[in-house]
Amino acid sequence: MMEEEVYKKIEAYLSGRMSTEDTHQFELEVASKPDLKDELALYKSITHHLTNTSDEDAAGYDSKHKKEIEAYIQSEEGKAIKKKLLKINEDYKTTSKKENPKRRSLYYVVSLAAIFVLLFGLFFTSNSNADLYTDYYKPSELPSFTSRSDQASLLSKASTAFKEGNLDISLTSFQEYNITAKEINPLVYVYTGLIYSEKGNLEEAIKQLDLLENSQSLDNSRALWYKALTYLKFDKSTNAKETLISIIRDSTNYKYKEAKELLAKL
Amino acid sequence: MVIKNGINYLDGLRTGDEKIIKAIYRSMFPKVRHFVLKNEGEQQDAEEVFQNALYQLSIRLKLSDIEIKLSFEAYLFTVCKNLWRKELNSKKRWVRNEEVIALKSEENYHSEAIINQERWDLFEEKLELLSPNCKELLKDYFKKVSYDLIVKKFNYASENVAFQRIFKCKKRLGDLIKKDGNYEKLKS
Repeated sequence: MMEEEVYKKIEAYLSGRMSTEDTHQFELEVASKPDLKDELALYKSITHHLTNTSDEDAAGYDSKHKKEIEAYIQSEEGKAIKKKLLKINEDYKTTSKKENPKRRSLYYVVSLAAIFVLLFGLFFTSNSNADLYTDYYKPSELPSFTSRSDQASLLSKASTAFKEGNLDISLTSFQEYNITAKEINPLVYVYTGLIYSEKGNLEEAIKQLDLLENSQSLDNSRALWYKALTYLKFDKSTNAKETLISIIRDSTNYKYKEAKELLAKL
Repeated sequence: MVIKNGINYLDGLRTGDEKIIKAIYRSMFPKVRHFVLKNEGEQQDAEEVFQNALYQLSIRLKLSDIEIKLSFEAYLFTVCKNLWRKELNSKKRWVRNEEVIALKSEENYHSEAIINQERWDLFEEKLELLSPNCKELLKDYFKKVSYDLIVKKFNYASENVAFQRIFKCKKRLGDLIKKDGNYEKLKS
């Protein structure tokens, strides 16, 4: 039976509300009382469970149960399961890739129809494209990389340099990231695209944004928005309109509302 | 509730039925992928998490049984979420240099993940045995809802009463967990 006083101590200890001296005292007590140690471990686990955080200390088991699991993993049967699942994963990837182009072609038909409908509007451009670019391009909306893990410092250095207008430093940092990162966050292509756009290289800018558009990222529709803006910057109205039409094809696309609005202005 | 559209997913996984496992992929992978990508992960992370979850469940099914109260899909999703959460956590700790990553063997990685999930199941099962009032109270408490708000919401006479009540609920949960025969083998 746990006394209320002990519970209070455990609470204070786990929430870090204990003074350094008391903490030290309590840890000594825990070390000398196995029951208390167990109780503390249990309450820690309960806290982790209810706060949805992972219990990092719940490792280092050395139980019979653990050994039994490991023996099975090492057995031929265990290895065979792993092999089978890997194969199914590969099969699944291949079939889902095959299914996508079909859906794409349907989109193209739909978007072509939309292009025809909107073609009539193409000849009546009232706003200057450069003005529209300034109205719609918002640096504050650029992706932020602060929460990314191991390559965080390189990415934040690169994006900060871009925001401060140091294009060359920014580009070098992004390129370094692209070479060293184990997996590339496709949102970096928003930046590299814009850098080339700033440097006046339309072709390379679009290439970079294509990399994002064709990635598996859920954010890949951002590529369309930045492409549309890039075309505007280069005064390519037709291309900008076509890109905006692709955006409004799907209401879940990034900047769907703005795309509609911008298209109306063009 | 492990059978859906006439397919028994758990049995399929237990026997390694390729058709059923493919059906699991089709019905569940997109959701898991969406979750991982929304939470700082990439396509490859999602694939690994899904693979590992199915692998660990298969092993558990071979060695004993899994009792699933909700749907298989909801359970698999929980397992994937737990795996990804742990992965993110250890990445962050690694970035903050809090731990030197000792290279874990593959079987060690899986056995720890399996035991963590089994512990999660046990805790969840016992949490469900508490009264609705206790559950609600503990959830609020761990969401760091302040004592004065808890007092108002649950109509307690004072903060001290709230404290006593939380203490009792937590203790009851702890006792239920300890009393379960499986807790001993899942202890670290």
